[in-house]
Amino acid sequence: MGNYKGKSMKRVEDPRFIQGKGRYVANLSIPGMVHVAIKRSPYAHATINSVDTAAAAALPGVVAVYTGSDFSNVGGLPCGFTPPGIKTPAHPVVAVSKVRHVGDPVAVVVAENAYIAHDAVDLIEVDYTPLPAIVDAKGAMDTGAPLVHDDVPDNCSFHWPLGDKDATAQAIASADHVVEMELINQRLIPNAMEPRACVAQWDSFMENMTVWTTSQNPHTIRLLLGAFTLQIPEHKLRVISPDVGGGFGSKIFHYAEEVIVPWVARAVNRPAKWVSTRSEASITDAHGRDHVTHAKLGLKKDGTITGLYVTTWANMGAYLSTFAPLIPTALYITLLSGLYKIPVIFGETYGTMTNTVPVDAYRGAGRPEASYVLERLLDIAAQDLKMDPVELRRKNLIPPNEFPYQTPVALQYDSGNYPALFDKIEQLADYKGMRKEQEKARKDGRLVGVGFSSCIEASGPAPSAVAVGLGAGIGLFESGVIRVHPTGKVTVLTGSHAHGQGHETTFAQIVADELGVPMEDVEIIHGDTERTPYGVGTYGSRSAAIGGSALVKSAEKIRHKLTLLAAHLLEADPADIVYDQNSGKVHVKGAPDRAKAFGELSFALTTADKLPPGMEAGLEETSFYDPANFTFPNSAHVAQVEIDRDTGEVTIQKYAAVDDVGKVINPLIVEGQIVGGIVQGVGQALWEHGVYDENGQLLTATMLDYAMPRADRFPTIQVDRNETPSPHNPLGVKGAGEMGTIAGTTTIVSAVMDALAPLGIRHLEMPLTAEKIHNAIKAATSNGGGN
Amino acid sequence: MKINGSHTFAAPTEVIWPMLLDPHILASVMPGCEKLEQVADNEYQGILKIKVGPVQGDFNGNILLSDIQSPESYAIAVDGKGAPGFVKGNGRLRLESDGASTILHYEGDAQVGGRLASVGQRLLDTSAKAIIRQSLEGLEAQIAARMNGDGEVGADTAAATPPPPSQTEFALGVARHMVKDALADEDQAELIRKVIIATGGLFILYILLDWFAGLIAKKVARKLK
Repeated sequence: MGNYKGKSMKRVEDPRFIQGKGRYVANLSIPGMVHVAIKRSPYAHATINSVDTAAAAALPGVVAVYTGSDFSNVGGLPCGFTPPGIKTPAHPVVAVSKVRHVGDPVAVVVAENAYIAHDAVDLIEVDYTPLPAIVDAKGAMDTGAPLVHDDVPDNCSFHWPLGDKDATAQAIASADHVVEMELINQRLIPNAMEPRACVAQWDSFMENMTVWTTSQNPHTIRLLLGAFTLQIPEHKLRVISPDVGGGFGSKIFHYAEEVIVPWVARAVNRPAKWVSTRSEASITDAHGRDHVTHAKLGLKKDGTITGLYVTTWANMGAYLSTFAPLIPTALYITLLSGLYKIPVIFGETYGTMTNTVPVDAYRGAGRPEASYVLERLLDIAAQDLKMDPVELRRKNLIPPNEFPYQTPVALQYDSGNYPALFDKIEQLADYKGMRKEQEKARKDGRLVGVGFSSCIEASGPAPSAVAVGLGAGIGLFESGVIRVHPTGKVTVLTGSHAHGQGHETTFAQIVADELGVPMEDVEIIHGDTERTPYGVGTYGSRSAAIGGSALVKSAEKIRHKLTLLAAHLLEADPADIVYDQNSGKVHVKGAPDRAKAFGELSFALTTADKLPPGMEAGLEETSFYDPANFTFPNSAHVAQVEIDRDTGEVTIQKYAAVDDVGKVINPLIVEGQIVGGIVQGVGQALWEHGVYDENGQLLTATMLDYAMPRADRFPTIQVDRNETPSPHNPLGVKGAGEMGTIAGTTTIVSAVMDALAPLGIRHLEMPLTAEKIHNAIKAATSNGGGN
Repeated sequence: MKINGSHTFAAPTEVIWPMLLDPHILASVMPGCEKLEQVADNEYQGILKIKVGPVQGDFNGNILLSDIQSPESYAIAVDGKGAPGFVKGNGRLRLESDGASTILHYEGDAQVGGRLASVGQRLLDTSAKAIIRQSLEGLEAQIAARMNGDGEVGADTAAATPPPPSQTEFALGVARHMVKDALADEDQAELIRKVIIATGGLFILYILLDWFAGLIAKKVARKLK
C-alpha cells in the first residue's frame, strides 16, 4: 500500500542546504538590531566581589552593559525532570554572587555590532575570590569536597534506585562467577555543525515577543520562557526554530542566552542577536555522559546471567540542565537488561553537582552508558569463562516467544527477534571468517581484534502518564495537523522538529501515502509556535513513532470525512465507499468509475453547497498522539580492528551493523542515521574526551584538543535491517536516530580490547587513543606479559 | 602547569643576585613585558603582553617576593589577570655558586584559567618554556654586557640594555623551541633537508606550470585570432 513509504526518496530539504540556502538563526538580520556578547567566568568556582563595567560602557558603539543584579526580574532556569526527593539548586540566568563553572555568565554587553560587543566584553573587570573546585562525579561526594551549592549537601542532588537490591546482592553472592568492574563513561562535548544562536524582537505596541532560537523543541522553550524565566504570557510569545544545523540533544535545553537576548530586546527596545562562537559552545552547551560506575555481574559456570548490580555516579555539572536528571535514571537504569533475560537487576544513580558545564542528554542519552556497562561486563565474562562472546550473549537472549517481555527494571519490551538479529549479523559480517582471520593474524604477531555488541534502545519516551509520574514536567505526546486546501494541496503542521532528521521528506511520504496524493503536493511546516499546534519537539528518537503517528491519526480523520462526503455525493452507503490510497480517488466498491477525486472532494468542502447534513465545511484535522509505550529498537554490530603495535593507532578494518528499527519509511534516511550514529559512537570509543583539570579549567575547549571523528578513519560500513514492526504504533516504526551511537561505542571498544587481550590487557578507559594503547602495550610487554 | 629547570651563567653570584631583584633588568629581558615597577618593598606590578596560539592580550600582574635569602634565593608569587584569562603561580629561584659561574635553579607551579587555558592549552607549556628560555638568554646577554663592560654592579645599565625581543622574534623563538622539543637533532637536520628539497621541487613545478600555462595561453590567443 502506498507509493512512497519504504522507498529511498531523496531528501526534499537537501537542495536548499547544499546550495547554501538554508535559513539559520545566525543568518537573520533585522534593521536596527543590536548585538549581544557575554562576559563569562574564567574561574570554575569563585565569589564575585565586584563587576566594573565602566570601561566597557564607555566604548563607542556600546549600547548597554548589564550584570547579574539587572536580571532580578527574570526567573532562574528550571529543571524539567524532578524525581521525588531531588534537590534543585537555583540557576540564575546571569551569576550574581558566585560563579560555578568556567563559562558561567557574569555580564552582558549590548553593542551596535558583534565586534564592538566582543571588544567591550574584554574591558569588563570582574574581581573574584577563587574558591576550591571539584570536577569529579564520584569525588564530589567525598567528605571535605568543595560544596558547589550550599543547599545541596554532599553535592548529591539525587539518589535514584531501581530494582530489588537484596535479591540482586544475594544472586551475585551466590553466583559461580562474578565480574566486577569500575567503568568510566567519559565526558563528551556535543559539536553540532551549527553553534547555538538567538535573535529576539520586541513589539512594544502589541507587547509581543518573537524569539528565534536554535532549538529542537520550540514549544518547550516557549513554555519555559513564559512560565518560568522571562514570564511574558505564553500567548504573547512566539518562538521560531528555523533551519537548525544539528542538535544531538544539546539544543533541547533552555539556555541562559534564550532569556538574555529577549530580555535585552525589550530593555533597549531594539531587535537583539547573539551567536555562540565554537569555543564558547564548548563551555556553555550541555555536555554528555560523564559517569563513574561500579558494576557486578553474576553468572553460572555455563554463562547464564544470574544478576546485575550497578552503582553509578553521574556528573550533573554546576546546575541541573533542563532534562539532566532524566538521563542517568529513567533512561539509563531501566536499560540495564539489554537484550538479555536477567533474573534480578539492581541499579542506582547518584546525581552529583560539580564545577563543570552542566551535563544533559547527548545522542543516546543514558542508553549508551547502560549498554556500555552491560556489554563490557559480558565481554570480560566471556574472557573469564573462555567462551565466545557471541555464544555467551546468545545463551542469555530473550526468546522471541516471550514478547511482550517484562524486564526487572520497569520496562516492557514490545517486540523483537533477537536470535534472528544475531543470525543476520553473523552472516553479514562473516563473524566466523573474521575470527579465523584473527587467529591467523595473531600467529603473525599482529594485534587484530573482533568486537561485538548488541544493544537495546528505548526510544520515544512514553506514555505521558508514566513519564510525568517519574518526574517529567511535560507530557510526551506529539501533535499533527493536516490542512487540505481547496485545490487539494496539503499543508502539514507538526509539533515535531527537524534539525537534520529529514522530516520534510519522511512526513511528506507518510501523509502522501495516507491520503493518496503526490508527495510534491504536501508541505511540512515545523518549528514555529505561531503556525504549529503545541508540540513536544524532537529528541529520544521520537519523531517518526510519535509525530508520524499523529499525522496518521489526522489522515484517518480526513479519509473518514471524505468517505462520508463521497458517499453523499455518489449517493451510496458509506460502508460501500472505498478510499483508494494509491490515487486518492474515493469510489463506490466494485465501481471505480463512480468516483470523486481528492481535489474534487476538497473543493466540495470549500463551496460547501452539497454537504451531507451535519458536516462542517473545510478540510483540516488535528491529532495529539500519545503512544502506549516506548518503542524498542535493537541492534547487533560487529567490527574488526587492527592495532599498530608500535604506535597504538587503531585502524577500523570492517564494520557491519544489523538494526531493528521496525518498519522503515525511508531507507536512505535510516541508513544515514545508522551510519552517522556509528561514526559518532566511535568518536567516543577512540577520540573524544572533554577534559577538566583539577581546578575546573576545561582543557579541550577547541577542536585543536577535542578530537572529532573524521570520514578518513572509517571503512565502508555495511548496514542491514532485521524488521520487527512495533505493535503499538500505526506505522510500526521504532526509533532510528540513536541506535548507531549506542552500538558504535561498545562495538569498537569490544574490538580494541579483544585485540589487546593476548597481551593480558583486561580493560582500558575510553577514549582508546593511540597514546593510551601505546602506553598500555609498553607496560604489558615490559612486565613480561603478552605473547 | 609545572615549571622547573636550571641555567648556568658565566658570572659570579654577586653579579647575578642584584639583577634578579632589579625590575628594569627583568622587564628588559622578558619577552612581552611592557612595564614592571616596584610598588612596595619586594612587590612589583607590571604588564605582560602574551600571545599563545590564537590567544593574545595584556596581563596585569602583581609579583610578590618573599623569604628572601640574600644572595641565594627567594620565593615568588605571581598573580596576573587580563582579558585572555588569569595566571596564578608560586615558585622559587635559587642561585648556586659553581666557581666563576652560577647555576640558577627555578621551579614553580602555575594555575592558568580562562581563554588562555581553554584555547591555548596545547601551546601553553611550550610558550611558557619559550618565555623562560628567552628571558634567560636575555639575562645572559645582559650579564655578558656587564662582564665585558666595567663590571660595576648596580651601575646604570640602561645604555647597555639590549631591547626585549619583539613579538615576531618571540613567535620564531616559540617555533624553534617547539621543533627542538618535538624532534631529535638528526631529525631536525632531516627536516631541514626535506624542506629544502620540497621548496626546490615546488619551484621547478612552478616553472613547469608557468611554461605550460604560457603554451595554453598562446594556443588560446591563436584560436581567438
